[in-house]
Amino acid sequence: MKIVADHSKCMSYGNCVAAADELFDLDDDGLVIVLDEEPAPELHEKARRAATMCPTKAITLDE
Amino acid sequence: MSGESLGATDRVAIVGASLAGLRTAQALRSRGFTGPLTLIGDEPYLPYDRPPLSKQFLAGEWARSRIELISEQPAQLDAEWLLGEPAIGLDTATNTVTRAGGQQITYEALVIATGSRPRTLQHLTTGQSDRIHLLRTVDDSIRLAAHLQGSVVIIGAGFIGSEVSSTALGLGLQVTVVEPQAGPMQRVLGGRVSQWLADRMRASGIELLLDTGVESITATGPENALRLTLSDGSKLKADCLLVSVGAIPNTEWLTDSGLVVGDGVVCDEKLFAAERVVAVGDVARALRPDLGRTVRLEHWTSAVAQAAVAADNLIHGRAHARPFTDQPYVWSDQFGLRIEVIGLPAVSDTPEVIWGSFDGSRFALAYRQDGRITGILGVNAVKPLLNIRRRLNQQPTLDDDLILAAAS
Repeated sequence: MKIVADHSKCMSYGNCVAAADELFDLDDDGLVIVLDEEPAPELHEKARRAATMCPTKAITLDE
Repeated sequence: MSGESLGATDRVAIVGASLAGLRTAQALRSRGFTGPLTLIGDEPYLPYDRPPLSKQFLAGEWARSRIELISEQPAQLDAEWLLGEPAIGLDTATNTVTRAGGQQITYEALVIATGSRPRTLQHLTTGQSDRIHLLRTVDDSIRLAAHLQGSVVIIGAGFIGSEVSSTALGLGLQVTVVEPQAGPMQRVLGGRVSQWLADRMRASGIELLLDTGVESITATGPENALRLTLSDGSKLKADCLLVSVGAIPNTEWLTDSGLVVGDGVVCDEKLFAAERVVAVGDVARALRPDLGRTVRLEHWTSAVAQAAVAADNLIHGRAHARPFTDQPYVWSDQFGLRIEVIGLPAVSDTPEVIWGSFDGSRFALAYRQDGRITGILGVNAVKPLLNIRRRLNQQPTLDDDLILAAAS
């Protein structure tokens, strides 16, 4: 799985961080940082949750 | 049948094809459900997102394609889509949903996600006019966008009313907001922050009429502006009127269904309304054991989070189901502010500043009732609230020490 985050869509809601703080954070401008672009299998479910929780579809997953 | 997990050939019917319905369908597939899936929706469209309808989409900044919720091809969900016609009946004794055209769909498991619709002021209105608007659907938003001109009047300063007033102001329009309570969004913000927001709205150029109700709305012809009479006797003219006075859950179709209905579909803490029947999103009134009562939320985040739990619970069966315990979380974007609320603070609860300051226009507050924290509110306080939400993942109750430590 590869996590792709689109800064042009990110509006700093932080739902991704709330869903999977091992994988996401917000930088000083409030934009998403992907902490681990190719997470281990045990984090895949959290990554999916983060993607579905993003209100602006800024997170996509290549699975 | 009771408590059993979903079989590979069991059909799941999802009534409601918007955010909650879609996310439940996606969660079912993502968790390995391969059986037949049918989504039933009253609107003739594939699921799209509603929050932008009062903001970017209304302003004409975002195209229709940007609010679509299905990013992948619909076929990848492997579902049957029955759109453009509402469900009008449910019989849980025969496991049958009936659509308006008479078609019947039988299911082995059911998801109720029929959402809510705007309350109207038809009882106060004389005459017909296409200058009167409600806002729930994309068609509503397109129609409103086309008519946003002249003097814009908005009745109700809740989430929708406040956001539309901000959008209309941003388009250079003259906007008057009429609100019967003492402040905008008072029910969710409480008195202090509501007054702060009122000041902010007025400073931006909104004419805000608080503690003011509407006695009558009169339409005298398609060429004429609407005439409103307010509770203080004054008159108001409106070239474009938005009625945004709250929403009603869509449960009329569940009369005689066998389910318990009362301001939403009543369900337990695991979102079950009955055996193999779950409710998700705006329509769901779910038990919160931590609060000792049922709660119905109209929050985007709850719809998505509930969908995942509901899907899991249907798949694994009631005996192995887990409760939905996420703290409520909702946001609003208006007047350059990112407003966020965690939990369920009551209007009467006492707020305490835990980060920032009112003067600085960036703050986070903790609300308390009898000393216990009932909710957190943030205005332009994304990082502190994110810290709190991160800590809530480990420990879901709004604990005193947790909150204060996380906000520092």
